[in-house]
Amino acid sequence: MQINIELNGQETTIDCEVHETLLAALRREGMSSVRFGSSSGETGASAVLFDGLLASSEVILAAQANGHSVVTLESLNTDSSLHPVQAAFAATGAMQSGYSVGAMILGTLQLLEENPDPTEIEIRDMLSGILDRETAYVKPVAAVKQAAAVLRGEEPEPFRPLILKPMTDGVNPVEVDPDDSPPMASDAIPRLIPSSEVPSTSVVGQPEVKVDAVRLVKGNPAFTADFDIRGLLHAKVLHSPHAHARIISIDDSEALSLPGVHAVIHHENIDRVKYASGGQSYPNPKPHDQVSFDNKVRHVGDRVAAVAAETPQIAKEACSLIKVEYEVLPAVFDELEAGNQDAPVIHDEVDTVDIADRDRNLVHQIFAERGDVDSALKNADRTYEQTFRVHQVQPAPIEPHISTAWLDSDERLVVRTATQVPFHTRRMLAPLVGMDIKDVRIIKPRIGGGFGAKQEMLIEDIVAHLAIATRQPVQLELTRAEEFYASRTRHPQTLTYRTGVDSEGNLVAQELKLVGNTGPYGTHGYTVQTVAGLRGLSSYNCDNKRFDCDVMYTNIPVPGAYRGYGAPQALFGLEAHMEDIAIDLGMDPIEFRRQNWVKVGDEMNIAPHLGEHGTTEEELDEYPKVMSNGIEECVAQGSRSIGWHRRHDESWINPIDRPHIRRGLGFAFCMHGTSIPFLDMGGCSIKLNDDGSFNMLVGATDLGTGADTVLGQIAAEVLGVPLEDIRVYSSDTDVTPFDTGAYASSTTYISGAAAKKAADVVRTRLKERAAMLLDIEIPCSIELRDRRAWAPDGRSVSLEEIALDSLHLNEQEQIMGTGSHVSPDCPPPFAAQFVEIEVDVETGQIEITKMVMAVDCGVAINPVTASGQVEGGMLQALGYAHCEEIVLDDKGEMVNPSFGPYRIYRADEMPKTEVFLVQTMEESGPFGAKAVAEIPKDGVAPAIRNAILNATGVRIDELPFTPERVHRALKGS
Amino acid sequence: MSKIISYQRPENLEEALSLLSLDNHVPLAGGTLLNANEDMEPLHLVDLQSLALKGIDNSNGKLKIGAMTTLHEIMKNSDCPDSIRLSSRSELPSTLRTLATIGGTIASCDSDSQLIASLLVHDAAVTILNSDGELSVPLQEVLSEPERLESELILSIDVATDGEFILESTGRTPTDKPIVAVATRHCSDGYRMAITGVAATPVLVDPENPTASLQPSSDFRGDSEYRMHLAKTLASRTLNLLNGEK
Repeated sequence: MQINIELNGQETTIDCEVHETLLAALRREGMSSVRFGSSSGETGASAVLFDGLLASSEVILAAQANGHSVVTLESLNTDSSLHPVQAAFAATGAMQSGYSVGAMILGTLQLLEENPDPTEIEIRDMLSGILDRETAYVKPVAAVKQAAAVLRGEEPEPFRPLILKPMTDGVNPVEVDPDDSPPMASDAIPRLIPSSEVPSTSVVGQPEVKVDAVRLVKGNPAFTADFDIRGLLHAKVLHSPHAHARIISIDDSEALSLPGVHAVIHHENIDRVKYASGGQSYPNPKPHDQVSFDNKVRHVGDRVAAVAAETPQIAKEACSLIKVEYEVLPAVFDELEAGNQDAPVIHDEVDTVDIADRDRNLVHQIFAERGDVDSALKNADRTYEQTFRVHQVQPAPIEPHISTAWLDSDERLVVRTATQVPFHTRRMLAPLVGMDIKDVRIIKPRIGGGFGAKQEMLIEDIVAHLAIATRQPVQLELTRAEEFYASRTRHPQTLTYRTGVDSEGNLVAQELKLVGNTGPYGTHGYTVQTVAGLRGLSSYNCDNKRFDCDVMYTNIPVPGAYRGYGAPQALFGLEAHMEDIAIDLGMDPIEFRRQNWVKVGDEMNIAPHLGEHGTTEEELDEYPKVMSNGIEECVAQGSRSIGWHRRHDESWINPIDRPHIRRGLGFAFCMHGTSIPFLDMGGCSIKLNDDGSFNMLVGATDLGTGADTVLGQIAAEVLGVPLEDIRVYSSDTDVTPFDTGAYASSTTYISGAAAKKAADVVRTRLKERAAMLLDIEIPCSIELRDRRAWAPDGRSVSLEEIALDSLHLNEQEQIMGTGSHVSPDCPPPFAAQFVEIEVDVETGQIEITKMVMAVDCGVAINPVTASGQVEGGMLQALGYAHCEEIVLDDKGEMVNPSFGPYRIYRADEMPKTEVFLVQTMEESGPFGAKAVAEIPKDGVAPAIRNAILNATGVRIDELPFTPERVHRALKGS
Repeated sequence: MSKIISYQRPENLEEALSLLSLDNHVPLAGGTLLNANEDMEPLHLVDLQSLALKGIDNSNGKLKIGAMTTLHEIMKNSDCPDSIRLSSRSELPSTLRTLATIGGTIASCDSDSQLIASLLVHDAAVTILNSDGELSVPLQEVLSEPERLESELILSIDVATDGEFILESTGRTPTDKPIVAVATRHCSDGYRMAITGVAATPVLVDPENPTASLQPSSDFRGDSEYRMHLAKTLASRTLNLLNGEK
């Protein structure tokens, strides 16, 4: 059929199928800004102005749109300039991945058309239909306000951090005056507390606009789905309806006969090559318990077969025609039951080795001890034991997993894919498809959120197999439901802490016993649990520590990497446990922690034993030490902001006008890691162009985190140029240097150091060339700044002149430099997490009214992107604590695989969210940087738990804090 | 997206009814539910957008809302009582509210719908068109016989606009679909109360004994016992608030 719409002001006729959505039709017309998030339209990523109103095009049939007007973001792109709304989103750092920014900008246009001076409530209501996992909506709200101001003819303040005076000397605590309040500023403005130890810089430390801002605010093609290839086939996966079953037979004949089907693959026609899908360094931790298609399925949603066809609809229909006979087996879902004698054995196949005890479904047993915990506990003045349970949640990136594979002209395999780990993916994929690594190329374009879910070689093998089978390009995009049940989740765990203290409240022993649920495949099971132990036992000084962990197979949807990677789970338990000990000892909870937390110079005495390749005590010369720690300033700033003094104010806790409400404040001390020492490595190369600009190639993976920008800033600082003179290209295994990828909070610290090294090499050569041109004997006396090379006597030559001279005129050469970096250090960032809540003691409903995180991440290379990371991390952590959960029925099927039933926070219900960046100078990091990416995930859940305790006197040691759970806990007390 | 066999957009009610009388022909209102459902059987869609069923008329002491009026239009219309406007706003987020219609919302019979609960307590009556002509049916009757809508068309909804109204709800987050919500209206002839999340659809209950004969089902957001507790608690709260008590 044909439809006629007014598209961006032009009468347009579009051919479409009767079942086609407006989203699909618009994308075929080249409107790449309109993006898929879910077929229910909940994400809003597909929103357009439909007759002038923001509406999700995923739930509008193209046929319905006949005769209507449709406006997309492309309507603003009439020339190279930015519309004021686009400029505001760029200037305020309001987009991270930018996947949904088209919808946000269109919504802003609509809102400001109706009301040039909207209230924050109205702005948040407009944003309510656009789900965002990245920004906590903080900076998008600011962007709308800024755009409104500009369109009203006002001149808004430049979007810059608010510089605050330190409240402490960086070492000692202070008493916070209850009447003292921080200066007022928009929540979106990061509060920056500088350190006198940090030298001044020109580009580093500045709130530079992201290097990909134009591409994103214009909705230009940037994501995997935005790139068309001729002859593209579409893949669909047939998933298991059973949690545990053998495949007795599989008949694909009817599927293959369906017109439009080009290939059907499954265990009978794909080689059985063992692997583990977690995107990790070589060698992937064992066991290698997966194959592309197995003759056994181990969770509801496990892959059974895949089809390549001319349309997604044909592929889906073909999947329904594949006849599979199953022998259904018993299943087990709880990690505490998986080891029982009567539990089914999940990996009984002979070709999976290195399972610790397959008959008990025990994948790994992880053990590490310092000192003598048993003896110390026996001699302690008091001992405490508590058990906590944490649940399964999904990272839920708004862009689902998507990969496209094809054979290029040289018949090399190319995969363009939304991945955080292009180099690991290349290495892992090649043997699965029977190719050499050199014949495989992985390209990571822009990604619409990853958060760890894309730290996996998840679907690349499927599209690769199909591309090889059909000799045509093949694309697979997961549906939202598949993203929930067939990608990766956080590991559920049962954690038991035992702690001994002496009579003065010092920790003398601490043990963490952990049972981790890795689902049916090992993937990240070993490393996540190890990190849980590392993070769960590193925050506090104690001579006797022990980690004892069983990692169990079960039949739940597969856990994998998710931002925080074991730390959110462990810190929920640890910070709840420490709170309760403090209260029992009659000590202030912060004071008790302060007495025990690690300080500068303290050893991290369990860390080396719980690395990815654990080290024994005998192998170590010394233990790593904390070299920078701004926690006292973090606590001071956070306490003041949250109003910590109200914690025991009965009149505040019990508001007279609302007798069913109790208010509470909660705190958690957070310590995370920065990269994996001796393992994470990043490379960079930089070359000089004719005009004095530079191309920088990095293997590092920008997920929307701003990595490209941050790395560019580091290079620009070294080379004395503005950021715009560094053109960054990243994450292409044929072109860019190696990088382990975006995980372990390593990009700024490791890849940034590599960028700095490469820039240093280039700088040296530039100075030498400048010395030649300026006739200077000592090149090192030359300084680079403002795009020029300056001699001590004030003469200078431009970088462009150096470039032209070196490329064309004299002793021609390409000035370029490479660098790579791996670190022996893992300097921890620290943070103070505070929350304020209200509890309805009659219903159990909790409302979080304020979240504050004050974080020491060393020097924030870009305070806007850094604070954005903290905001987005807290949003996800809030969901983890409060409302997100994967719910399985008794047969292991997920009952809520869609947004709505799987609840994530919307813009119009977010608590007030503030971020403080406390500077310290971490000497081992580029320009003093430490990590900031994951620590925001760690403190919200325990802080809320502790706030509930403050408000009601009730302890809840299981997540999430749903109304029913809270109600039962209150009733039980 | 379900498998759609055909799409038609009738220009008048007669044509629409005639199409809907055919097998597997279903009405398409805003499409937020139908188009989002990937698992339905193959369907023929009958798009209602050209039937002039939009509009809000506040004359004659009652508010008449055309079935194809969107929740966004209701939210924005000052002729609608605040209670109905707020319920429309909270029913769906911005990008779906501009598409979803009041007729489609009623036809969904969503047991969690605060808007349906609000309409119930505002004495909503639904004007339905079938082969015998137009008739006005109380909303609670429509909800108790949802299958009638397979061959009938909702034309409009009449609601009372007087009285005071309170809505109390409990959800996982402030804007979540409620686990249970209680809508109560105090008008000249007494109280009306409706509760969501305790039956197959939102139900009118006796304000003096709101949980009598309720047998809610359990799901992961709340089991039956908890839902009964919420119903009692929130019902009492709405009455207290309407009576000026705390």
